[in-house]
Amino acid sequence: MKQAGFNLQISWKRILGKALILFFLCNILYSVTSSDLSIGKLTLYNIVFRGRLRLPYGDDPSKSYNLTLNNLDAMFASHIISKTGKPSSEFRVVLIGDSATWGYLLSNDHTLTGYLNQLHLSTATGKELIFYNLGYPVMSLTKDLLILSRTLAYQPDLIIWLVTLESFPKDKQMYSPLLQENLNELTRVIQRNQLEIGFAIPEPPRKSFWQNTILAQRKQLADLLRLQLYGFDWSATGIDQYIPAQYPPRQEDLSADLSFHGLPPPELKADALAFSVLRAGKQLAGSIPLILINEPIFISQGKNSDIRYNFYYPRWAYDDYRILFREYCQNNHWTCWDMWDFVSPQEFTNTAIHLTPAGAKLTANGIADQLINWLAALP
Amino acid sequence: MTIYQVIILVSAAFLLGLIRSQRLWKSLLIFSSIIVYYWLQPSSSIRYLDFWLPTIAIILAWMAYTGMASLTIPTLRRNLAELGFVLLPTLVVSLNRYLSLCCVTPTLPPSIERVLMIIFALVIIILLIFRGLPEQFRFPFSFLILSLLFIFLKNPYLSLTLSRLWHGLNHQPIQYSLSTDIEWLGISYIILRIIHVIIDVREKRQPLPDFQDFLLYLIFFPALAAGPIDLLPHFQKEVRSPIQSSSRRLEGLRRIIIGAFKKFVLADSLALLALSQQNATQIVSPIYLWLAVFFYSLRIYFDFSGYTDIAIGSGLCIGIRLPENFSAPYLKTNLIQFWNSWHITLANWFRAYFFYPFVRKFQRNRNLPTWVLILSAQVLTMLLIGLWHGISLNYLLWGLWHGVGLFINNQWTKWTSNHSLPILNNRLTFLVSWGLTFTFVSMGWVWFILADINTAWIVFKHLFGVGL
Repeated sequence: MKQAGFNLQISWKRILGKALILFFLCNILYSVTSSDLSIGKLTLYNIVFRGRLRLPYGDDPSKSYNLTLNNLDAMFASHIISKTGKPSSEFRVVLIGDSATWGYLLSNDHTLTGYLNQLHLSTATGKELIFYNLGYPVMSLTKDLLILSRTLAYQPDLIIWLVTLESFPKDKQMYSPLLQENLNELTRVIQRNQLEIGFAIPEPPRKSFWQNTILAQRKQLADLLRLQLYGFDWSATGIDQYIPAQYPPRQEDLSADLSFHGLPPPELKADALAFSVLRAGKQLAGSIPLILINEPIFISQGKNSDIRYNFYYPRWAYDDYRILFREYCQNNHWTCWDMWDFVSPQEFTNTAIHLTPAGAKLTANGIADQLINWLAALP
Repeated sequence: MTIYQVIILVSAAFLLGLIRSQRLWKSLLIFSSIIVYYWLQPSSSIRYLDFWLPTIAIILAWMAYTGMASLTIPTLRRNLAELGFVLLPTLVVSLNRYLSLCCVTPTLPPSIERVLMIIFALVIIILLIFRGLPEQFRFPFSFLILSLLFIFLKNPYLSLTLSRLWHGLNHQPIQYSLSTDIEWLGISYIILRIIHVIIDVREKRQPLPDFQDFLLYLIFFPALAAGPIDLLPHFQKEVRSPIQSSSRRLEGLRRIIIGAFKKFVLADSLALLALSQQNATQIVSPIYLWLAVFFYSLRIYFDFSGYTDIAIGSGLCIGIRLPENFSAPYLKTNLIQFWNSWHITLANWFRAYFFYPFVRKFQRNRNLPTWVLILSAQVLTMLLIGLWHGISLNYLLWGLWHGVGLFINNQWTKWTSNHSLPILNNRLTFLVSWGLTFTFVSMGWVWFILADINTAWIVFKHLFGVGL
């Protein structure tokens, strides 16, 4: 018995010792190489599980079988657009934008992309238009620029960029954790392409050795694992968002507040908005056609609706924005479609930009109509 | 339990193991178990409930103990003194109302004068009842109280009624009452342990233990939340066994590491994939549904056996070996073997205190065919095991599923032993038997998970592609 106990003790000491050494070695190795590892690219999506139809984002992971993370490699790897190869019969259209494009409170069938795909549009040469939802629920043009830069690797034939005024103020550009966690990449994209975005990008923080270890990165690594595990639920259920039966509706009665992001009425100056990011996006897209759409907004008819269109926008600011948007498009010869009042007020859900399925369908049909004309005009 | 709670408990267990040879070790172990009970008790919307439930558990234990003991003045005096002793940690915990130290109880306990008053009132009531009852009725009385308590706690409707009542007593709005408000940590295990002791003492299979041993057996903190259900004589032997050895401690640590891995890595990951109340009707493909059912099987095993490993490991660190609860149940090739290796201590408890007494009683009735006796004994035992998990139709059906399964398995074994069939001894048969057993057990979990029978029925149909 003594002998057995002695052996047990020795072997456990050795096991513990080896485990500790391995643990430290793995941490050192990970810390040194993690920036080059792109561990997020390791994925079961499009191999074991079907690719997601929109980028991962989840307010309530356990109910939506989805989660919010800031690892762009993992986000794109889980998306169906990462499925290998682009068939020659496909005309690839990518939609980027905010939560309205992503489809907040909408199932995948009911998003703009969902409806556009259901229309089975094709080009004059017989290529089928396949739309990809690369919207992400953050209102910032710079976030869209970051997504756009990634999108180019997937050979889009057309990029549709849906925007709204709330994504334009310069103070909103960098607030998202997605941007904060990907400052290195954003800086690289800007520098490599010599983009002028018109405002300063914060210096990417230098992570210490400790901050790069597995131990310090455990939450991020656990999120990557959870994203893979939720792939099973996504494949099994087709659900990637929890849509409650009831939610607080968009605000109908508004405050008599004239302010817009601290900008004073009566005139909205172009230099207060990040139009330069649109130009940078256009530059980044290069020869790939890019269509800008000013997305539909809720137009309130409630209290103080003579002052504000909705919770986001005082009338003076939004009206000026539309003028600026039109001028920019004309001056730069961009294809821009202004769909701001395309959807009736009852087709908005919980915010001034989130659409009901009927609202999304209407918008998709509107986009499709213009797209058919645009495609017909293609050489 | 969270991983941090496990780490704290394991550290406490390790420290208690180090001072095993000290005179005050047992008292410290009792005190620690009581404090841990208060600490682990989940919070509730009912004011002070997280304090009162552990306190009532101690009083219940004392009631059951007093019901077994003689009511002579010296014995009573000693029992009261022992109660006073074990209530010291309770009073210390109640002092937290004035100290507001974090984490001792989920919410602030009631005032100390109220605690003393209510404990005093409960003790007086118990004593008056026992004094008024003839000796032969004291056991049925304790049994009745424990059974009623169990029924009220485990039935959603009655639990809701109890919650409303408690809200009302607290002058809290009763419309916010939920059947899940009264989440009493470990009470199912405590009740089974009490019943085991009072039956064995009554049947003179074991002498009356002293109250401290009895209470420690009931609320020994490693086994408080999820068992295993030890038997008092074995537990006492372990408590009195010689000094702790380092090999035991190391074995304990090994079990804890394995248990934590099972629980916090495997089970918690599988939880994202497993069948649940939420995804049961969302899954649109039979293949995924089968996978989700199998994942649940694995999840519940790793979760429960992980906790058991942590409990056994912590016990070993203290120097007390708890009984094993699992023995590779999913590798078994028939249901009888499965139930000999799944939640072993619970199955043994029901065998000892229901199955065998039932069979013995009805064996005397020679007119009853053997198969009827076996069928009724097995089905009733499994129904009771089902109801122990919760008094609702889904647990009843889960019990019935296994009861009938065990009976069929029993008859099949009997038939094959009378007919020599070489086909039964090859590898393929072994594999098929394993597959059938695992699938049968996994399908049974559908009843277990889904409280709504209609949903369970839909899942069964979807598993076979019907109604999709």
